[in-house]
Amino acid sequence: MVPEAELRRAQRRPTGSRLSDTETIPVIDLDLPVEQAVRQLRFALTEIGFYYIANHGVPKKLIRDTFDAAARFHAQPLDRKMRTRIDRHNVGYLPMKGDTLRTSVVQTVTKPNLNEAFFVARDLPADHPDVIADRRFRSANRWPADLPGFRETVVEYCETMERLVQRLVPLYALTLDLPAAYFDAAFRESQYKLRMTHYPNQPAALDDEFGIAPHTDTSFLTLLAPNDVPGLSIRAQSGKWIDAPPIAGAYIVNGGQLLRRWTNDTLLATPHRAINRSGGERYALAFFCDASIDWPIAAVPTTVGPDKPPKYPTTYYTDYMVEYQKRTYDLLADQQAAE
Amino acid sequence: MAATETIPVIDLGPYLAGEPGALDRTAKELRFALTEIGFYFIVNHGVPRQQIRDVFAEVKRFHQQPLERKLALKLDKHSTGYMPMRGNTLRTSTVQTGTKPNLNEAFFVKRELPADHPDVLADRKYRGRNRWPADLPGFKEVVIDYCETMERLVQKMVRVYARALDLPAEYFDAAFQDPQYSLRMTHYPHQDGPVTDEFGLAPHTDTSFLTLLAPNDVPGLSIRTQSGKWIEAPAVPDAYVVNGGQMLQRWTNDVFLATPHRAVNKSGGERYAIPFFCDSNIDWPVAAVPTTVGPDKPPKYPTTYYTDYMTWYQKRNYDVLNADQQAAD
Repeated sequence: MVPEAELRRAQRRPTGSRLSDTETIPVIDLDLPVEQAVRQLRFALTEIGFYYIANHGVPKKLIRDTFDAAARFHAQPLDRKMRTRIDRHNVGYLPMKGDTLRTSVVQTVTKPNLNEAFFVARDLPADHPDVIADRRFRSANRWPADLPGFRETVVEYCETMERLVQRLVPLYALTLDLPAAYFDAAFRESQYKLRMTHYPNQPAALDDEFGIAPHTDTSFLTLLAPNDVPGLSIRAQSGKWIDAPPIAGAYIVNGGQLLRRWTNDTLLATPHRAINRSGGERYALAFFCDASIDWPIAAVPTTVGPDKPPKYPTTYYTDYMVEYQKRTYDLLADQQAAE
Repeated sequence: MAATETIPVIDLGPYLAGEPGALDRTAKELRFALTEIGFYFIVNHGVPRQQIRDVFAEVKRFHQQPLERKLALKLDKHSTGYMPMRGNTLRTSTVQTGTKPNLNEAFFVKRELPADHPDVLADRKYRGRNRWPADLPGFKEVVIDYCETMERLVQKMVRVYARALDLPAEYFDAAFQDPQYSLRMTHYPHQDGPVTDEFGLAPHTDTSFLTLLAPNDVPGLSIRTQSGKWIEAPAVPDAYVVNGGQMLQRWTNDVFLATPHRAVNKSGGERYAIPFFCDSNIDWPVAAVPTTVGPDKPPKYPTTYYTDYMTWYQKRNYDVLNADQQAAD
């Protein structure tokens, strides 16, 4: 799937300097024997916090169709998009400059992000108990009315991503010296969100204006779809910002704040940002995935002990996200003020 | 300080029947039992009476064999096989200094693994093959059936444990998919006279996550309540007696109890007892669950594993095993 030369280039690391070693984002081939994949994953998640995956089995066409769906969505007139405006479940449309990353621990951000995005969660049926109970983050999705095929493509994409996550979590378990099945139950009905983002071209970006400002994700893991248009940079452990170049067909994966909590800071949540200077539009598909909504989030057994107490109190997706979003989404704050 | 002197009876019927709300109601009763006294009875557990009778009959048959036959199956390093009378002294007991060896004999069986199982081929500790008596037709089948019934019951019960700890019901499912268990088939001969330091089984706590003791018409079990008082566990018809052990304490950062207990047979006849000791999968890490720890409440115990813990425990416990092993080393 990934051309050999590109794989080699991405995996090549300068020798002699440990620091420079960590400034390359490794590529993990999912067709490798498990022990090898685990070794690479451990390196990736402890040294840089980002990795590419090759041979992930996601059909190229499905990825293309989902990018097309994102472009179609954002090509709609603004008033149409505003009809599905983001709600307290964090599904729906977030307009351009709709949020400022106030929770960023990475950089003091003054300008709102230069992107618009459409968020989709697991497509729960209207009669699902959580939907009926209006349970936070468990609502029905807000689908656009006049985009035939949009919903079907996006739902299929989400389900494919969910299965890919279920394939990855045994590797995470082994990386943490846990039984391979350790996370299986927690990720049987994972809590996820697909963010379909449109970054307009920023020819002359200001110093503190970003497509998306430096931040860490909240997720256990984020799967960013292979993208022909560059724009993502990550901050290596050395503090240096490096570009994450597109590798044909490869997903980019990273961990977030909840991964740190699951691992008592053993695994990284690496800051990243996006600026679109490609000269054209840029779309990005980020799939944020966490354990099932009721699963307790706490340091796994191999990362704690009497002499190494948990750094964070046990939390739950809902509690954590409520707190996080309170600080992040201006729009949401406006809505809450209006209520 | 917990102050109940009564072993509660938990009716599993509604939960096992899938009645709405029954899981959480049962979990609440379980939490009480495991935080206040550490023992409980279960009724309507779904184990057929006949199956329990059959396994008791087989245990009796086993122990009625001549000693040399039983000794041919002497306890091995996997802790399966026959342990003769007075074969162990509970030296790890934190409860009482046991001076005299226990007055019981027992036959231990673990999960029945096929000869070509990777763990068997690798001679992995605690994953050996069972040692079946040669001339007791039907014994093996009845015992294996019983173990499988116990395993399925445990798999249902761990959901109640999860809810009792404010965890998702499925929290322990994966850990108990292939649980590590041991069935102890014990024979307690009748003991005359006053008991001071000679017991059928001296005061001890179990190591298990949970122990299921089969309903028994012959009394003999006593438990030490949180007040320090020893009380007799009454024979409740058809009820299993359940308790937690040291592993349960570790899983729960001491939120749940591992209550000391002992056995003395003064019934005037023979007594047989069949406890099923159950733990999670042998490779599952044993550590405090998320609802029992935090930055201000660090884990009291380091993360451990069944093999490491049992190796440590048994080194101190089984004289027979020790003597043999040391001689062999």
